[in-house]
Parts: sequence; structure tokens; C-alpha cells
Amino acid sequence: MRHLVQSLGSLVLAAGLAFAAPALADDVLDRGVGSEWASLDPQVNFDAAAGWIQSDAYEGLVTYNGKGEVIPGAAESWEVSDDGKTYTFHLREGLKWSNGDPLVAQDFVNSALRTLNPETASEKGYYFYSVIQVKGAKALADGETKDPATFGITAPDPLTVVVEMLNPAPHMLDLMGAFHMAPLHSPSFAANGAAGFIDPAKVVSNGAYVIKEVVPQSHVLLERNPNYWDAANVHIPFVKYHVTEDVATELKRFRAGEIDITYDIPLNQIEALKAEMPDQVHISPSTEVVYYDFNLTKEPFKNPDLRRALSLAIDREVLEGKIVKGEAIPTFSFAGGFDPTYKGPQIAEASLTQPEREALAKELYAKAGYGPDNPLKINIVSISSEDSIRRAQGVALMWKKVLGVEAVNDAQERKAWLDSFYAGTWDVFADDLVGDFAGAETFLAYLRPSAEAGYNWVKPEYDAAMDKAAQMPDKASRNAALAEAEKLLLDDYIFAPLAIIPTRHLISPQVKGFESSVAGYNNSQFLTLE
Amino acid sequence: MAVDRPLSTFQLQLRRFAQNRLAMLSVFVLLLIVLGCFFGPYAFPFDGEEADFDYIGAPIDFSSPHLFGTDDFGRDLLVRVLEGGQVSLTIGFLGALTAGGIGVLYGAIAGYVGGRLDGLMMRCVEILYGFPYVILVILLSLLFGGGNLALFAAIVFTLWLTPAVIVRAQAQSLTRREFVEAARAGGMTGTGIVLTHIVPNCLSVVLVYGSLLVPEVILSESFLSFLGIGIKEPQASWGNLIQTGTAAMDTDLRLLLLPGGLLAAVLLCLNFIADGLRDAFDPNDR
Repeated sequence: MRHLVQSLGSLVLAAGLAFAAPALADDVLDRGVGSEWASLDPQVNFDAAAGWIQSDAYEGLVTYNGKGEVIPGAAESWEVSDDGKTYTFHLREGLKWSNGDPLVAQDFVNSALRTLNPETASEKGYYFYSVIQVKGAKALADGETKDPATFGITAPDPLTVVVEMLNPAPHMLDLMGAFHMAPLHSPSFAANGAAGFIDPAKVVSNGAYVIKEVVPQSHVLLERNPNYWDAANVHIPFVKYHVTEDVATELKRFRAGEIDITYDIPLNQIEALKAEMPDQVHISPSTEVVYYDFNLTKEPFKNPDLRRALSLAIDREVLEGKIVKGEAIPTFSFAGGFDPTYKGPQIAEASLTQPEREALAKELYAKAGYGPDNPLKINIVSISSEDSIRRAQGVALMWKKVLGVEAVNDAQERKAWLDSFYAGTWDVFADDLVGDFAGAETFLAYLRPSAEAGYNWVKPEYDAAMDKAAQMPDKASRNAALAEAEKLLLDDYIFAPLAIIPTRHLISPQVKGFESSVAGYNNSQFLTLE
Repeated sequence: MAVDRPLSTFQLQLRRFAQNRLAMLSVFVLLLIVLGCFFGPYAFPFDGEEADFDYIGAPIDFSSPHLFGTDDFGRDLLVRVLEGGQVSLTIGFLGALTAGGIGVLYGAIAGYVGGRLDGLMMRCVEILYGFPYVILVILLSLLFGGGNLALFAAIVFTLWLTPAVIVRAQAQSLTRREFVEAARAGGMTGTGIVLTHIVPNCLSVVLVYGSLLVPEVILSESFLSFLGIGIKEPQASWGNLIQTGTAAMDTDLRLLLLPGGLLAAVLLCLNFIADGLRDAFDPNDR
């Protein structure tokens, strides 16, 4: 999952009250999603903020509580084979779609098949052939076959889903939730195509909520799904996800009582808010890492010395602590810092002091053929959110100060930013990755050249190292093998890792049940309003 | 007793202007700001794009090198505001001059020639008036790949229309005057008449309108930069400085007040000067 995420904004409005009234703790929970969702297509959406909407509207085989623990979802139980390669899920009896149709095991299989189908152009296929290696997934994703019989996810009967993998995967349950594998209602998809997912009149879902209204650049309104198996325990009748692109405006709405859970907190106000309303400020680490990619298809960045110089010239402590001031944790590694049992490497120069790093950076920059008379001129493409812009401008200033690089920040809306990545219209891309679970593997698997071609990184050794790690059945040996792979990754300096981002929310005291976890799940069905 | 030399109309007008205290004060203040913006930054050992990470968000302190403190990136606020002023003022005056120049010529030709060409030219102006401004700017910045040139083109493109309409009306009445008839009878070419008779005689109107055009251009530039489609970071302009300032308004007013205050002062000065010019050139209009 790529992207800045994790906070939910929400606001409580009196439903149906057209006139201005103070916010009432009644039946609408409004949650902010920052920029507008890129897609509401469950097999295509790769955006974590839209993933919250998806997790409310759809339910996977398993689901996650606020602490990030795996709990039964559509499947009430499951078994693992002795070799750890086969999982058998048993669906609850009498499950229904929101339109009343029975929900069957094949709907989950169809979802995975659609995700992998090259025609869907979904970025999420790598979950099935890379993060976990489901039998036959790679061939389907590459378009070598279209035969579902070759696929390792099957439905032997309407109540059973079997997942057969090539390798053991201790983390596979983290990928069976609604974000990764929401079931697909095939009749409505056949009739409406992808357009049906954003049309409230046509969308069919199986989660605690159904989509009732989609207003671009404004909000998505969800209504409780009466056909949900656990509808009796869903306490909030309506959930409204608001586009809250501007954090300062969002804070004003929160203060006005319109929003219960904000998407984010304005960085320059964190200190003041902590003093003013300590109980409402929630800041905790997330699985999001920020790193600046170098465009390997462009000439200057083909030189590893230059990439290294740029990475070393950034003073990460000053950047996060004094410029961005968002309580992010500076980092010299990519996949470390999420799972305490993972002891991964850092970039080689992490042990030096910053002045030593800067001296080395200058040397490498000169060696690459640049200098005061011939400065490197680059653009940094970032999201147009406050912290991204501040970070990009801070990095640009550091590059200018240390190396004399002339960098400009090109801040774009989230959707345009994502498009830019694949279009390659950037020199430096302010990238971030939200891990799908709190472990190193989710980050490292994403960077495999075979999984994400957008980095244009050619490194068969890395793929081989990741394949080796994937054979390891237990966590300790797996982590050791992953650390070797990360070393290969960091040594190439194809990006500059910068920081681990926290989630920041303001949460109204009316909202109960909100918990913080690194995974960041907080489905509306587990929340209550007072 | 010395006989007073008779004064020309223009000299009389200047004298009337000089007697307007508010306008003269405005000229003085404006001059001060312009000189400050263009020469002030040389008095500092650093420029506005240079960050000093040891002084991030430093407050106002007249004993430190950063008189008005630094912004959130450690860049000197005063120097940045002055450099931003260079950009805003340059675009303001150049933009007004270009827009005014195009407008005057276009209007003078339309008014002098008259007839079908006049109708055609004025309909064009009306069509261009109908263009949504912000969309036009976005399209132009796409066309020029963004940057200062696109901004300048967009501002000029939308602002030359009004002077064209004003001058055209003036030119229409001048065309029927005896001295123009005489020039025509004397065999002067159309181009000659437009340039030597029509344009100079429109000048007082143009001068008054032009002095109002300058603040309009500055305001446009600031407005577009505020929206993020004008001058881009790290280059400063009053517009984007004010935008940064409003974001930090709740915690640090300094970032908003310095660029905002200067922009307001310049706009007020230009308006007072325009007022003074109008009073001087057209005493009946008081």
C-alpha cells in the first residue's frame, strides 16, 4: 500500500438536519480521509486512506481489530497444514451480500483472480505472487494463462476457501483482510464493470456498511448494512468519509465539533494541542516509511556516487526534528523499525556523524562531475500535503546548502502524484510506503523488481535473496535472510530512506473504542459514539 | 519684474500633483520600498534561499544577523520578503507597462479606424473578457511548462483588455477633432496619426489608469502565487510568502505581517498616487 495514511478524520453531524445546529452525538460518524480517494474499486484501490472506506464496506476472510490483531471475518475458523503452505478457511453459514444474494467461497476466489488479471491493471497482484506466493499467481499475473484451475486459491465447496502457497508464509493472515482480498460480487461486476463500484445504486458489498452516496471532492457516505452477519453489533448507523485535504481547515472543523477523528494534525500546532487537549491527541508509530527515490532511467542518477551523495547530504535529525516537526522517526534503513524481532541493516554511513556524511557527500558529488559551475538541477515530486511539502523543501534546501544542487519541489495532488510515478516525470520522487503488516517482509517484497517495475531497478540478486528468505519457515531464520536482502537494497542507494511516519489524529471524546496499533486498522464497526 | 513663463498643461498638471501631500508621501514611501527591495538584500551576507539550520524559526531579534528572524526552514525572513518584493514589483510594473502598451495601441487603432474593423476588434476583446481567469492561467502554465514567464503572460493576457476599451473610446472622439482632420488633409498616414496624435492625447487617461493597473497586476501575481499556480518555492514572492504566513497564522504572526504589510503599503501608495494623478489631470472629476 503506497501512501500517507492512517489517520481517520471523522465528524459528527446531525443526519438530516439541514439547518446549522451544534454537532450532536447522534448517528453519523464522519471520518476524514485527507486527499480524495484514488479509487473505490476494491481490487484496484492501492491507497490506504481509501482502504478504510473499503474495510468498512467489505469484509475479508479475516478482519483486524483496533489493536491490529487478526480476528475472524467472513471465515469463522481456519486450519493450517503442517508444512505451513496450505490454509483452509471455513466461511460462516448464511452469509449474504448487501443485496441479499448468498455470499459463497467462489466470490473470494474471483476477487483474487480479478486482482491478478492483467486487464484489471491492479497494483495489488504482488500480494499474491510476492508477499505470499500463491500457487499459479505469477503465471496469471504475467498473462501466461487465464485458466483458474491453475490457481492456488480455490473453493471446493461454497463454504470453504483453500489457499495453497509455494512457500510457507507466517504472515499470510495479514493479507486475507478486506483491503487485500475483498470478495467480488460477480453478477454485478459482469453487469456494470468497474464503474459499478462507485455507483451507490449498483454497488454490492458484504461489509458492515454499504456505500450510499459518493460525492467527488466531498465525501463518501456509508450506511449500516442490514444483511451483514454481525449487524446487531454495528453501533453507528452512518459513517461519512470526508475529503479533508487541508489539515488547518480540518482542525477548525474538529474544533467546531464537526469532526470527531481527524485525518491529521497541523504540524505547527502539535505542541499547543498536546497542552490544550492531551486526551484527544493520538500519535503513534505506523507502518509508513518515507524514502526519496532517484529516477534510475535518467542519466545523472545512473551514477551510484551521485545517489549516495544526495542521500548523505540530508540531515535527517534536523529535517524531522526542526523542519517537518511531525514527530516522525529519522531512519537510515528501509524495512527496520517496525518489527522488534527484525534486526536489519542501515545504510553504511549511518555510523558516521552528520558533518562526516556531508564531507563525504561533497566528495562524491564532485567525483560525479558536478560543482558550483555545473550544478545538478532536479525536481522533487511530492504530495501536496503539509508535511510532504515541508520535507521536500527541507531536503531541497539541504541539497542546496551542502552540495549546491538546485532542486525545486513539485507538489501534486495524491492521484497526480501516483500517476507521475509511473509516468517517470520526476528526478526525485518523494515516495512513501505503508506496510501491509508490521514486518520487514511487506516492505522488502514491494521493492522486488519483479513486483514493482516503477523503480526501474535491475537486480536479480535481490530477487534471489528474497526467494531464499521466502523458503524459511520460522520467523528467526526468515528475518535473517530478509536482512541480507535489505543489505543489497540499501547498498545500491536507489533511494534515500528518511523517516518512519507516525499516525496523528485528534479524536473527539465522543468516540469510544479507537485504539492505536502500528497496523492502523480502526474499522467503524468496532467504534461507538456517545 | 520678471514675467512668468506660461506653463504647459503637463507642467500645470505636475504642479497640481506636487501639491497633493498624500500622493507625494505615497511616492516617497513607494520609492523607499522599491529601493529597499532592490538594494536591501545586498546589505546581508546571505541570500533568501540560503537556509541556516541552526536558526530555524528564530524570532525577531535586532541584535542577531536575522533582524526579523527566520522562517520554518531557517531562511532569513527580511531578505526573503525583500527578494519577494523584487519579483512582485518587477512583475507589477513590467506587467502594467506591457498590458498598458498593448491595450493603448489596440484601442487607438480600433478607435481611429472605426467601422467594421473596430467592431471586429472590440468583439474579440469581449470574447477574451469572457475567459475564466484562473483556468486561463492554468492552461498557460501548462503551455509554458509553468514558471514566471507563464504567469507574466497570463497576467498581461487578461489585463490589457480594459485599457484597450478605455483608449478606444477616447480615440473615437479624438478622430473627429479638427486637428486630426487637418493632419489627414495634410496627407499624414494612418500610422502617423495614431502615433503622433491619438496616443499622446490619450496619455493622461492612460497614466491614471496605468497607475491603477500596477497594483492590480501585483495583486494578481500575489493571488496566483497564493493559490500555488504562480511563483513557486524556493523562489519567493509576496504572494507565496503570505500563503506560508497564513498557514502559520495561529502560532507566528510575524511570517504573515511582514510580507502582508509591505504588500498593503505598496497597494495603498499606488492607489493614492493614482488618485493624485486623476485629480491633477482632470480637475473637473473631483
